[in-house]
Amino acid sequence: MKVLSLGKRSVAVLAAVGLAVGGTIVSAHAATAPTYIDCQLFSAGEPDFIDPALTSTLVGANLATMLFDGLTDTDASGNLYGEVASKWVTKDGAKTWAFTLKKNLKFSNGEAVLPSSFVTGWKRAFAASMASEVAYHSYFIAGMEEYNTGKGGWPSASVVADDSAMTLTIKMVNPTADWPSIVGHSVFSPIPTTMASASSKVEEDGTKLVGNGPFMLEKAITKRAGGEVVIVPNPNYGGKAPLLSRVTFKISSDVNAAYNAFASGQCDNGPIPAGRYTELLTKWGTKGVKTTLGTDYWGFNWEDPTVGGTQNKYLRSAISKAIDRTQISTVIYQGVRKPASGLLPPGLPGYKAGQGLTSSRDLNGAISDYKRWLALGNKTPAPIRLSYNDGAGWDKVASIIIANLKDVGIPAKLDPYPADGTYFSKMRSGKGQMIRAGWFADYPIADNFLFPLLHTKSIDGDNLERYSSVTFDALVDSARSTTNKSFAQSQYRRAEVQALRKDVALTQTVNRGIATVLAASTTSFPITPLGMIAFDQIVKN
Amino acid sequence: MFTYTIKRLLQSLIVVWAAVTLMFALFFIIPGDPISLKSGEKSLPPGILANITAKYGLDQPTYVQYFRFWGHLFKGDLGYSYKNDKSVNTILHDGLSTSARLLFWGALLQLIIALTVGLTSAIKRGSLGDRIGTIFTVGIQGIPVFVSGLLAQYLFGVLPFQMHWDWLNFFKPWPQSWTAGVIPTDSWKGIILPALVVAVVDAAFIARMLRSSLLEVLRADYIRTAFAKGLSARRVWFHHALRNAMIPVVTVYGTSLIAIFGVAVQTEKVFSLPGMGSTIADSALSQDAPVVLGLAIVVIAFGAVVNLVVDLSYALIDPRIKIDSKAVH
Repeated sequence: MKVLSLGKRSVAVLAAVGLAVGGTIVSAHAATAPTYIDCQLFSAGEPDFIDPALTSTLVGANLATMLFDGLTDTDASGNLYGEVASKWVTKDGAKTWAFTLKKNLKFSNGEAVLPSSFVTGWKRAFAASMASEVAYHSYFIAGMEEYNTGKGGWPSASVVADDSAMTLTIKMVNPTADWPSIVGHSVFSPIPTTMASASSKVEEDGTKLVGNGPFMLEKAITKRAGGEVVIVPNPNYGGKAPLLSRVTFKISSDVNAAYNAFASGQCDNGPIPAGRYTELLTKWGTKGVKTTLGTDYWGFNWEDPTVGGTQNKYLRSAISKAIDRTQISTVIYQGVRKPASGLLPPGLPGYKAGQGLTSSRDLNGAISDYKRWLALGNKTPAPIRLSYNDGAGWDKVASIIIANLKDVGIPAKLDPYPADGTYFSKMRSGKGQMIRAGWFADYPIADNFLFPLLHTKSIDGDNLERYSSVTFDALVDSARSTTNKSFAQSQYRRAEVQALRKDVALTQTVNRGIATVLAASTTSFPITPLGMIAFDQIVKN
Repeated sequence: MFTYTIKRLLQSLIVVWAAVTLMFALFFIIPGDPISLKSGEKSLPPGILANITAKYGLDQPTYVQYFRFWGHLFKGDLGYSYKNDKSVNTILHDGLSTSARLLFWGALLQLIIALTVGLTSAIKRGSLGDRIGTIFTVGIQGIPVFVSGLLAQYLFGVLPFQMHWDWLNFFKPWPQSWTAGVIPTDSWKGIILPALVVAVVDAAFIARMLRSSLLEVLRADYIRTAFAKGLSARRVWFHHALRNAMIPVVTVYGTSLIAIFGVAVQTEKVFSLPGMGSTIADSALSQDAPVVLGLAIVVIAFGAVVNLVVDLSYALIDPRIKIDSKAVH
């Protein structure tokens, strides 16, 4: 009996210690407007940052855009609109831009949003000490690259704020017709004077992260590792007030767990585990499905003796025509990612369908082109390597392409690279033959795809194919330097045709999309083409 | 025992230093770099890369980084995450409290389950309870945590919600029922399912160990003598048999407490619990060296302390075992 008594006491003591360790019991909260619980999936558990100066991920940027309003933004239909800016003009061929700001806008701490608030924000975001990954978006502004790299001071002549006139004037390095779209990126957010000297560690105490967006942080987020970020309406917001009284972001790194959380009623939306798109979208509906501004493609190494250069164009076109994009779309993505017909995705201003060599499989054309390539004195090549970064499911896409190429008689094989971050640097150095790649728009402009991915100046950068064409470069350069929108779009279209149809530098596969499942209580769930969920416009019954 | 304890603690410090040094070296040997992993598909201009590497001191020679790491450590500063600039001290604080809750309740549930199943199986040998216990222990051991975790989420979270088993929601201060802690909250309810998953994995093994150990003891002469003296069955089982059968069980339980950390990593991942285990795993994948090293120090120290406590507990359980500064007899 003594043993039992000891056991009981031990259990009681252990239980008491456990309760002490165990934390608090959450009490019910009272809310009038609906609250919303968002099950965000993020591969590494939580967003990198929610500080707009630093975040480089979609999840982080989505939160940042709820906390901060920039000069401009893109709505769910893909239209550019003024957020803090009421209008913008250029008088010297897009070399200088003048933005007029709306009056009486405030940060959540009550401080007025002025043109100088943008200067304060940009000084902080682009300082070398912040080491922001996304600071390069500022390099369009004259003198900003020098400031960011510590080679120059703040370019006060390039960013001029006049608080009395409520104008912000910006001088560019080169004519930049798309600047009003570019400046909508969250890195260009304004900040109040209280944040002027905030370091990159400001999120350690989220109460110091003060924005002018529709929401603000409910509390300090030092415990973000607790798996939640909570935002509530900003009482000083000058725009349309959110319809929700609170949004709780639950961060999950496991897609199955995140879906289970949704399916058990813990969240109002949730991600869809791979391979279950058809089943779950049938069950929960397709209100949360949206095609976004992203394209997956396979590039050809322009310097490779087998697939590169003008002499191997017919082999590349045979490969491009052989690929069954519909099969990739349906088998791998179950229709959420649609077959692409060009590099520029639908919804992008200036988009035109059918800019690529082909969007549907053309087996006869592929066989014919392959024969023409062989007739030029080429022999059946050694298996063409399809390079990709392992661990993200690209092997399945590559396997489909290999099977497609087999139908034409073109040998090919998988060429996986470890998921250690070295894949893209190896591709940049010319190690690949067929290179798996994809691009998601930073801002909704054609230049954001064509310049970094295919321009000669982007070799050693994101031009993984090391493609170089005088004609293509000239078309893009002319488009960049005009303020005539229709002419610019026409030049970008011609450039796309040059690279994809005439030179076959790459072959597109599918356009990216977002698919989430929604609880029946969510009646409106707007997603912008940039993949941002407009939490301030969600309607929940 | 005091000298022995001090000696073992000093040995533990050497173990921690050696393990952290080895891990530090590994971060420089393995291919890839954290900055490339951060930037993902997009290339970063050289100026941006230079800013980032300078900020984290990655532009310094390896030995400088190594000594700087220890220098900061002695000041109580574990550094900052490459991923989000978050203080590793903060990550440790948050992760430790989450993991401590999970490990505590997991270990406690494990002990309760193991003792219940093991004792029932041994004392009621051949009974229905013994058979069910054997099937349970054999069956449960073979199920990986990511399967049992997802299964638990489905059975206790998804199914009751979708079947409208509202009677389960007898206590509902939050939108989900008490069973639906799929992504756990700070509430105590959120720890129930993860702790259960942690508990059952090794509970099965410990139960089987206890059963066989107890069966062996129950066959011993002194047990027969105790019964012959007229002692009650309960007194013989709990006072004489269980105490002697516990020595191998304690050894296994101690090892299990260290192994439970491995189980907790998977459990934290499956349940999106932001504890130390899942943070180490995520950080290792993104080569976030400060976080991995900072948290690993605690994990290694924890292992060393548990080993020491297990050794010391032998003497408490069995008076025949004595500990001195030279050896354990």
